[in-house]
Amino acid sequence: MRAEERLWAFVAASAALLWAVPFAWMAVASLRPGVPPDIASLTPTGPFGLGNFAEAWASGNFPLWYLNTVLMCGGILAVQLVTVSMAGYAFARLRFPGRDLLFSAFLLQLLLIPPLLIVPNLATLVSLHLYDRLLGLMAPYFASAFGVFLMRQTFRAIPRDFEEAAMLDGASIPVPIRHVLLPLARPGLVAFAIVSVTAHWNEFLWPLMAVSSPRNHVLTVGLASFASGAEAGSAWGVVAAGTFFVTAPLLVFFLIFQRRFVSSFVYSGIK
Amino acid sequence: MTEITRRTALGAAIAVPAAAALARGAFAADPVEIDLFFPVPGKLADKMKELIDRFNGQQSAVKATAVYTGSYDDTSLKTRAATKAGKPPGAVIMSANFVREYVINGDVDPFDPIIAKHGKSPSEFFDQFWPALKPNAMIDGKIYGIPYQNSTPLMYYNVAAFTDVGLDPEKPPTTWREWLDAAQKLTKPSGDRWASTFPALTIIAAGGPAPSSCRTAGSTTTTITAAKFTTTPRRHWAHSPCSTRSSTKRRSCRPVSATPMLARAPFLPAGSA
Repeated sequence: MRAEERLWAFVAASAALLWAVPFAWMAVASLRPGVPPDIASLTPTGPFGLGNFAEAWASGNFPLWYLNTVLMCGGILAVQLVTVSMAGYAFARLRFPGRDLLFSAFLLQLLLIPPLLIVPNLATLVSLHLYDRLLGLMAPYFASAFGVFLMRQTFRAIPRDFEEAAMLDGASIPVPIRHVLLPLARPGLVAFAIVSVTAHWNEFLWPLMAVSSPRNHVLTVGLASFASGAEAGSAWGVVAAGTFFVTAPLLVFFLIFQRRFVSSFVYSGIK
Repeated sequence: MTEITRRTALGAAIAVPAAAALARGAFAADPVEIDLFFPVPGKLADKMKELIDRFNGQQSAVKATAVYTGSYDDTSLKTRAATKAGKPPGAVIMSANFVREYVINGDVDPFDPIIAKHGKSPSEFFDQFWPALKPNAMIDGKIYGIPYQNSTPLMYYNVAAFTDVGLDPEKPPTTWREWLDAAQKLTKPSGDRWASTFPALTIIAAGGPAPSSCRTAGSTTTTITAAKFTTTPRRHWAHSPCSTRSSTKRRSCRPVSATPMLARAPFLPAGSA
């Protein structure tokens, strides 16, 4: 039994180490200015410095990219939290004709690969005059099949007794949702928020498609515009520093709320 | 992949709005706004914006916006999606390999009317470019792409190694035959020194020019010759073995400094432009 525990601890530690390698690499490369001969080394020699961060920051309009990314992720999440909890409630509690069929259709949508929808979505944006606007960037994500599914399961795990008690006291439908179900479903909402923000923060292809003006660029597209491609091959340090700017907010956020995030994921049963 | 397509970068134009702008000419009250999609990041992107700013400053009929659109493949994806959605860019800088596809799909207009406005016939216009660039840009007798930012294969060679074996550093090889002869002379039988290194696909993608120090004009070498050439060295033991593999699986071979000859496209370190 003890040997088995130790084996699992070893496996977990190895996986964690493997997972940490790219981050360590990024940190190491970003701290070495210039083009050192052992440029890709994980265990480098000095000198170290912060010059790459200054150069990366100066290479792009990071404040604007941060703002656009935060607006995009925040806007998507704000609308999603409303739509997925309402739809989740409807599928979990209400009875209406075609409910199960409609829910199957939602699940089917999870099977579509997003690039398939690029052209139809773009055409819709153009006809709504939302092409090349941040709102257009967010619009396709305002409803989330995954979120609806997750919230439906979360609501179904909550006993009906709580709402029925509120209903007996004369509450109409919105009241128990707001005061009973949503507070109890918070772990599910938090888990969904993490998945949503991470996905949209890191997304590259859709922002590249939906937006053209440099003033609407988000972090991922901005980073690529100065860091990717063969021409940046020797500027690893600057690329690593730029990558650090892109990933840092999420990393810091996760470190601060680590405990709550992990418990949310355990509760809601995803990943 | 980026590096290969980079070799053959051409401008392909979706010239509808641009032609409309020309037709309206200087009488237009408001400038026609067009997007120019481009796939080069970093310092080259800065240069692109500089050029576009200059263009916008010089005339008032067209206002162009330079839009970075990711890699060559992403740029094609974005171009196609934007075109299908009804927002085609005015012009695109993309890999020359894609031009024919756009022509077949009917997504691009030829440049011919614009060139005609400047009083030139298509072939007169193409006289200013190396002949090797023409087949990718002209399709069915019409110009759909304008050679721009083509990567030119260069040959690098080690003067000390040349002198060492009695080759004239002032006269580097100018044909594949001469290259092979030089390579054989430069190779040390003990294996201490391989004579030359080149990623095989580079030369095939380059198609035309034979390696000559910074001079690529006047060559008649074809893609087929280049392809054949890349298969011969193994028999002659003149090349570093790993360098003859497909460049998509390119491994780090010998450092360039130890290689007497190296043929490849120019590679612009981000810090040097």
